[in-house]
Amino acid sequence: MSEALLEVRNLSVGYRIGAGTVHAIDDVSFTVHEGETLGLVGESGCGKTTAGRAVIKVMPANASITGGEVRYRGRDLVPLSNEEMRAIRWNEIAVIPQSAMNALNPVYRVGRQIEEVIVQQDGASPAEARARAEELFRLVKIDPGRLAHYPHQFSGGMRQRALVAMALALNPALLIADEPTTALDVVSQDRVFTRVRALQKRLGASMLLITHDMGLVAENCDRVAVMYAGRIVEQADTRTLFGAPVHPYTLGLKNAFPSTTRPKDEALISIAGAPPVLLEAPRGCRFAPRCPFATPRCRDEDPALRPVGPGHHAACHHTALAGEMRARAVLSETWTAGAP
Amino acid sequence: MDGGGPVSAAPLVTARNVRKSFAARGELAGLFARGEGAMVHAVDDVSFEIREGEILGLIGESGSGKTTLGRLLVRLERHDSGSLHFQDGRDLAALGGRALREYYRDVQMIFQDPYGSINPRFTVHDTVVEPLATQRLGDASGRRDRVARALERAGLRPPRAFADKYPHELSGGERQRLSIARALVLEPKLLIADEPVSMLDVSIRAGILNLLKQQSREFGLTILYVSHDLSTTRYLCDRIAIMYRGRFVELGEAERVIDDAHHPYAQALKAAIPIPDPEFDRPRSEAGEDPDEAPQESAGCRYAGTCPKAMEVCHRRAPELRPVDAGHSVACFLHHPADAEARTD
Ligand SMILES: Nc1ncnc2c1ncn2[C@@H]1O[C@H](COP(=O)(O)OP(=O)(O)OP(=O)(O)O)[C@@H](O)[C@H]1O
Ligand SMILES: Nc1ncnc2c1ncn2[C@@H]1O[C@H](COP(=O)(O)OP(=O)(O)OP(=O)(O)O)[C@@H](O)[C@H]1O
Ligand code: SF4
Ligand code: SF4
Ligand SMILES: [Mg+2]
Ligand SMILES: [Mg+2]
Repeated sequence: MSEALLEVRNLSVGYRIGAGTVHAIDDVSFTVHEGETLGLVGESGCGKTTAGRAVIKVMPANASITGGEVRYRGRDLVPLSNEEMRAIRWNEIAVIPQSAMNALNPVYRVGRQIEEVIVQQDGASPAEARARAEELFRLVKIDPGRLAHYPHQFSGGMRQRALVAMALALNPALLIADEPTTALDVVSQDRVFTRVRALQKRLGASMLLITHDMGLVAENCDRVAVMYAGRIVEQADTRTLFGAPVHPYTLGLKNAFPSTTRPKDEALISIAGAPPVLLEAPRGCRFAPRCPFATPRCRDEDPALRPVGPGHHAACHHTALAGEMRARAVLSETWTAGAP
Repeated sequence: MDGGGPVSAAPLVTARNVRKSFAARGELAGLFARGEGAMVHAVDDVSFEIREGEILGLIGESGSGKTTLGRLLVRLERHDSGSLHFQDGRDLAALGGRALREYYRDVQMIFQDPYGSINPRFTVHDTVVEPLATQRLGDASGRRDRVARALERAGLRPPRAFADKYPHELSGGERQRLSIARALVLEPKLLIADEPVSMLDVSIRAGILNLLKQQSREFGLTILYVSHDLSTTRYLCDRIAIMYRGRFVELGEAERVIDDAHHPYAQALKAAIPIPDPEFDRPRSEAGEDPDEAPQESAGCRYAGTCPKAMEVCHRRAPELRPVDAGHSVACFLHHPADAEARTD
């Protein structure tokens, strides 16, 4: 296997709020190798954005890294100063933020904002920066003439593509893409991904792709990490994760994949209940209150992420019963009967 | 013009030949590629009806005018020409002052951008209570109950865990649900939902879709559902319209439009859906240099520059949206060969 570019080890991040601290991610570890794309998936609010932002330490004021390491090319980024981080952002690690639609400054032309990054980080001349910005706009399929427009003159999907262009401006070695195409139709999404992947391949760059779209994961990721309630619960290469998942949460997720061929009157199967509020560390397995396969042991004992196969890890006490759980998980009554 | 279906259902909204353009003004015009006076025809001669109680899906290319059309319906923009009428004959062009405020009791919009459309200094409770206050509905405790109910319905459970949070303390999906709660708190007749579930994972998405479906079936809520996700749109909607560069190119009963897509752009959309199966090798769209934004001034079909089936006539004339079947209309010469011939030369 190629070398690790990014190694996140035992990372924990908390948000201070009036009622205490939300432990949004807790003891999270994952690795992104050179040239690979790692998918990060999981329910809304499970901590994906928090994990992505902690890597480059662009976090809200009430957030703090409470433990762990973020090793980039072997160097831990956690203790670095803002100044030191600035040298890494854009040219080493670039981010397409989830709030892409709102991330542009409304009072400046879109082109100026992209060119500024290129001039400041790369020392390019204004003319070089303009030429590069035009090239990037063509890459994401926006008329370069649109560089002269203000963000409000762009549609939602155009703003998102502008942010994709900006993140690619300095050929980063690692791209953290947080829901990069949520505002795009599938044809545009397909084109943008085809082009970004071609560029990635040419540069040997890596990507951390945060998404809810399991189709995008299947088509673009080499490996996948599944998060639940601030933890990674399963991690495997993409084929294994889709073909032979073992964690009940992954089984539930897989169930809810939409399909254009499903009968229209069939209600979508969803996992009943809500994830825990992470103000205090939950006892036992975090998924137990919603897990159709939970046993008394699950409610007492926190399952650790353990190897279950080559490159395949899962945090569940009952992975030995995975075959049986997979068979039951496709039945809607398994999820509607309510947790025992 | 319209895509068939039960004739009995009365229209809640009637749009006839609606147009809306934006200009690239001032010093901008010189910089803009197409030069002085360049216009973006965001909505270009669109006619349709939204029937009372139906869920109409709107799918289309990024930048094709979906949000603009929604903004016209909630009167955040005014149409340049054509007509837009609401149920009881209210002309959207004529609404102002009190009439406009009353209109907002009936019509609400969930905005595409859950970050930009919410006041960052308002808590979750403040955000959802605001429309009730603006409409002077209920007393303090009545409002609190309605807010809690709306949060609960939008899946922000339990409501008290969210009521005092600020938007920056919410995840992307939680913010999207806040927008949904805000739009539903007035119990409007028409909801314009602009990509309301794009940031939600499948399991929460299913909950919201089921919620919208239930609001429609039980309370007769009429919905214009803007989305780029074909499978959820097919699941949720009664009819679907497909938009391309300002125009409707296909309109009809939901399953028909998706399962039996006629327009080449609609077929391209279907072919571009990522398949959640790593063993399946879907042919990827070639990253060819097709025109990013074809000049809209061209007299021909807007899709002619990209369309693999384009014929000579397509570059000269624009096809009209006309029925191919009961309840299914398409704007393409392939399906209306007589139109192409009758109009040639
Ligand atoms: N600034 C903040 N203050 C307090 N809580 C926060 C803050 N930002 C996020 N949270 C909480 O932390 C948890 C994780 O949020 P995060 O944004 O990482 O989720 P996510 O997995 O990216 O979700 P989504 O898919 O909806 O974007 C959520 O419960 C969220 O409410
Ligand atoms: N205020 C404005 N000024 C100038 N151009 C505008 C304005 N609003 C929209 N446009 C342009 O109108 C066209 C249609 O935009 P609209 O936002 O309606 O597209 P959309 O179909 O919602 O796209 P998306 O799926 O990307 O959100 C785009 O080319 C956009 O740039
Ligand atoms: S440990 Fe128990 S509760 Fe947790 S996922 Fe496994 S079976 Fe379910
Ligand atoms: S009218 Fe012509 S160019 Fe337009 S979609 Fe049909 S075949 Fe293609
Ligand atoms: Mg997020
Ligand atoms: Mg839009």
